[in-house]
Amino acid sequence: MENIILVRYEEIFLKGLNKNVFENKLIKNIKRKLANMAIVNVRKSQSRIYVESSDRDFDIEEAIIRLRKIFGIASVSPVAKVPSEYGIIKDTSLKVVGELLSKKSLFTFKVEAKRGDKKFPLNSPQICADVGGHVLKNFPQLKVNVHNPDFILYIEVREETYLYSQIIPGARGLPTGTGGKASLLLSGGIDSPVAGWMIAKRGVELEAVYFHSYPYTSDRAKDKVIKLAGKIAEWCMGLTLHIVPFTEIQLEINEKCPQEYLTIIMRRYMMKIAERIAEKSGSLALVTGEAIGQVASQTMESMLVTNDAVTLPVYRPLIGMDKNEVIEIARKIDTFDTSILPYEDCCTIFVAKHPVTKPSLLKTLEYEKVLDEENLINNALFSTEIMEI
Amino acid sequence: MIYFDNSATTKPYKEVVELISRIMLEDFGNSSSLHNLGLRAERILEETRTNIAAAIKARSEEIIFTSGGTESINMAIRGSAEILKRSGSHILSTPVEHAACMESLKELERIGYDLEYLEVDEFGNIILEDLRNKLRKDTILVNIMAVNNELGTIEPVFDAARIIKSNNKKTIFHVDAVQGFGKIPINTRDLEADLISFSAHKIHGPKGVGMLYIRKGTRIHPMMMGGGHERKIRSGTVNVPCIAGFGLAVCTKIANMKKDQDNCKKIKDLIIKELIEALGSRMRINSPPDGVENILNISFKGIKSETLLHFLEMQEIYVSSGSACHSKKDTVSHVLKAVGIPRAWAEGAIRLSFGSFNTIDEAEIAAKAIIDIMEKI
Repeated sequence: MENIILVRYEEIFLKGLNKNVFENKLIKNIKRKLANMAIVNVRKSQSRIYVESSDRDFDIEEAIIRLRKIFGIASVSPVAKVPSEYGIIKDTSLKVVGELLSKKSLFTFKVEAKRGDKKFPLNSPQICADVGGHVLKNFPQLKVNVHNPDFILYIEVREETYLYSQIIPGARGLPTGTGGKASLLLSGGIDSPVAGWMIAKRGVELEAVYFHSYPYTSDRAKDKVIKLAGKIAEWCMGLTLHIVPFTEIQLEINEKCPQEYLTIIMRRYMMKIAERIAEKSGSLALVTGEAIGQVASQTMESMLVTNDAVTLPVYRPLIGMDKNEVIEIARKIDTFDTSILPYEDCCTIFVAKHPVTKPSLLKTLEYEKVLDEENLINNALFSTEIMEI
Repeated sequence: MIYFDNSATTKPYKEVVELISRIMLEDFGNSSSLHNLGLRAERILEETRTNIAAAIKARSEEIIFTSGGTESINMAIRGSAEILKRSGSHILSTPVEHAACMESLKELERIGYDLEYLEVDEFGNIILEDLRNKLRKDTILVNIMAVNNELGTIEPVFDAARIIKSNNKKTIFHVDAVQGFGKIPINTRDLEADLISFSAHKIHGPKGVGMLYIRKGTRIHPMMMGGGHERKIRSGTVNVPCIAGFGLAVCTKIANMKKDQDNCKKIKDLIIKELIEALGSRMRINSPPDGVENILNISFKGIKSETLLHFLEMQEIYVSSGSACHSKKDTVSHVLKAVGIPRAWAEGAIRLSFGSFNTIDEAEIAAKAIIDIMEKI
């Protein structure tokens, strides 16, 4: 018996003639993600992917944890692969069930058999009935329930036979690298990591831009963002993090522009700098974690003004979501606990008591004129720290 | 010197001592301080947490550093009972636990919890059927050690976890892994416990440091109130240098676990063989044949364990009588009593416990020394 992992995908089927491109990317991503674990063989067969390793120490559970963070995978199953001989299949079915029952307490089951190899002496209903009986005899605590079983024992008879009892949901989406690249404006908050994850889910490669206001924000805030970037990177096959020193710009705005317009002008500078970084790295869009009306700088009026600062499209995948819905995803993708660490990010200092909620674009442009934009932005870009995560 | 008392404590690895000393001298900042010196200490702390978490396949948020095994155990038992006091009062434990567990549990019993002991066999193994029968719907806490400190018995904690969780998911399962960690494979994916206690100085790390694994979603009432360190669960300035030393000891011990245990087996087998050959019915092996290889508990007839201990000490061979924690009390060990070893035998029980630094030559010398003493008296 060989222990392997069966990987299924769904949306890729719809890609017609491009299907191969998506499949090959997915295989490449799987190989990369498992690279430092063991020598694995990843092969495609009949619109499925099989992950195998001849390494005895291959940690299947760890591999599954990693596979569940690869976009493009609909589900995975740990599978026992055996020669298509009925006696072996029966023995293996006991092993598979025994292993499952040693981890979970389950009481009802059914067998589902598929016979791809029509030369196999028994047909599918016969396999189901006979293996089912064999399992019942050996696990007296189990009962058969064909309508609503606690678990299903799947048996697929092909050239070789595959047995499994678990179908573990994957991340879905499309394989990273099939959808272009985008630049994420990453703060230390809850929203922006989720926004990045949602865009990455569609096969988009990410880079992240973080604005650091040392000494107004501590290096702990920076560590927190690096950690967050690391959590996102687990989902999108790594990313580049740009850490932009932002203190000089904030001080300038603070000194020269009206209080209530501080935040909005600061946001415009962030967009402009992110766009410059994006252009250099070939990103096709900016991504932010904004949602309509969440804070003063995220009203529709404010977003009109910030959007005006750039020509690249700005994707805001959270635009129609409530905070609770965002938190739910943040928990799921494991960024929440890091996001709520108590270090201030650059958005929370230099805040006016009453920031304008309905800024006017004309006024903003007028107020901005006093700033030496080119110089400020070039200085910031010149000192930007770049990290591969 | 032959040090055969590694279950009491171990000699730290040299690299561990060097690391601790370097951090104490250079990165002595308070990990909570806002400045960069504090940040440097915090980074060491968090990196260690990540490494240790990986070693037991846990998440780093699930690791709380403490002052040692006893604190971890107190926090686990009393801290979870406090949270669950409205869900029930029934607690199950083996009768062969370490004093840290026993006394924490008795304290709970004194304030009104319903403490019940599981049955154990002649080696201190719990009986899974008995656990199944004694579990109730209102059982809030089950406490079982991974490895018994006096006998080396490996308790079936993996199976116990499944039984406990299938009876009631909310029942908290605490495993005292102070003696088990680094001796048998323990990870939080295979062991479905909610709380697991660990200590650094049993695996060649520093004294004064331990940790409690708290599975995500499990709540603990803090014992230490103060500045809110360690996610508010364990206040008190964090002992960063020793924690870093703990981290290094964990990595070293886990990497060498198999080799160390194989070596311990050779030592143990040799001592058993020599003693049986020379002493025959004047001795009795109390440890189970399938226990951990690093602990050997033996009784001798006609000599008090303390006398034997001091005779050996004269030759710079260090062993333990029963368990070190009992050595100041003039009673027979509660473990030996619970497994039904007759008093006459129990009074002559010594524990030899081996570690990473012991050699087969030492085993030869120690066995010979014991035989000589037994022949003299």
